Amino acid sequence: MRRLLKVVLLSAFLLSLFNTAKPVQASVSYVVVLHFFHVDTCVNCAAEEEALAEIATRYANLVIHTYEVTDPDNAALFETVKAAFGDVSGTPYTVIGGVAFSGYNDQTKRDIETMIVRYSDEEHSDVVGMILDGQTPQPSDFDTFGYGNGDVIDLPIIGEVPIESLSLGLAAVVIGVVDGFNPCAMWVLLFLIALLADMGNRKRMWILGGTFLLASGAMYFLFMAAWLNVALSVAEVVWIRILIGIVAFLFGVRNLWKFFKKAKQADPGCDVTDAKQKKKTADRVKEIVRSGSFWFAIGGIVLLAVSVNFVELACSAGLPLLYTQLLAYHLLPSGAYYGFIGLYVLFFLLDDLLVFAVAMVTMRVSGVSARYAKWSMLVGGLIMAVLGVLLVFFPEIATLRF
Amino acid sequence: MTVLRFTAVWCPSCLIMKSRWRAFFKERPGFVMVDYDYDDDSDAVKTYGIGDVLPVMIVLDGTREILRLVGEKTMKELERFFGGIGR
Repeated sequence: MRRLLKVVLLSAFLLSLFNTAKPVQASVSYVVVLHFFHVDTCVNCAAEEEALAEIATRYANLVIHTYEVTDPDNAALFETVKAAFGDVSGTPYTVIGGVAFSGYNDQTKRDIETMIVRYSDEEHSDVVGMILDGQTPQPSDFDTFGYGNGDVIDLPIIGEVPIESLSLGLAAVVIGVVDGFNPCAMWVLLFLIALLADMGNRKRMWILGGTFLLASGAMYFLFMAAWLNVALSVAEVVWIRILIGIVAFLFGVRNLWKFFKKAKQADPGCDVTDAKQKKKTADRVKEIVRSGSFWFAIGGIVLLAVSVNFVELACSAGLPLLYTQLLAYHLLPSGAYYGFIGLYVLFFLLDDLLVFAVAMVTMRVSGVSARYAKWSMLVGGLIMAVLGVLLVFFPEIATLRF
Repeated sequence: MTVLRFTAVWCPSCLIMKSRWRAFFKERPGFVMVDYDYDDDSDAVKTYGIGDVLPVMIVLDGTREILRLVGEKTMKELERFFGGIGR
């Protein structure tokens, strides 16, 4: 069984990294016209111009028209186009079909390319072309940036996501499970269940154990959601990506070092480090469980879950942070971001849920072997170290953008 | 013969071993069991030189230590280490 688990985890991880299944690029059949409004002295415009030149080498059906807007005629056209799109921003300004992009960064480059691929296979209006021809674009000529029907898949709970982002789901499952085997906080649940099982009160066991799991999941979810918002705002900053890559690599090496240290240890078991702190937490759990007041017990359990998982984060922050960072590199509907985080948290809690379910059925608690924790260190360490290196040197692969 | 068992409430491996010990010693009823808590029984922890991995099981023949098992052990390993002891 353990061997099977190892094989499944490693296979899934490798698949998520090296899955080369790409959305099938349709055969090119439509000319795509890109209108680029710029100013010669604008730095971002120069960067976009360079990027467009590079993109143009890959799409034979792409026609690029450039407009330097210090020229009065171009400036007038620029104002008309912006008015048509209901926009007031400056240069660089790019229009493809019925979609306009304001400003420029690495994400814009990817988005422009997404639209080129989509319009290559789809009949579309050329809003700027219509204005140049003296026509008035109709609402149906405008488009929203997104993916064509064939490029999205509707996932339960998560909603519509681009096919290229499906690997995020697999990564949520693999990294979530590995993160869940981290032994830092699980002992609290085990101890809690053991105490409750001794009392023989199945109803109280359900409520308090369930509350602990629910509060743990909510705490983890909120932390990851908060980090996602930070990550989204800095997703295109190159030095932050490199810094995160280096930190992930160091976390990974630390885990690998711990694994090899444990592998040398002939006797897998519990390390007695922080024993005093653990004893203090155990005493708190006892106090909560034995409390006569039901509501005091509920409140105590919630606070316990928050504080314990806070420590857990310090213990295994590398994996949730890394996964959230990967999410930030994908353009998704906001519901999908939180759906993927929910999926991660669900699989993070999976081992706890299993232990809880078994205890509820048998009224006896069983631990999770230190051998699993050891292997989770290896897999977790490998994931972090490999993704760390990829984030620094091969960001397109590391962000699971296939 | 006496079996000393050192565990801690926060130790998942101890939980695993407690249920294995229960099954194992059911078949070997001749032992006297003494359980120590790592946090509460610091004197015994010191006396028996318990290291930094739990659980620990020590078998004493009178006062002489004849076997010490540290960490998680499978039932097969328990059988192997105990051999004929207590039969």
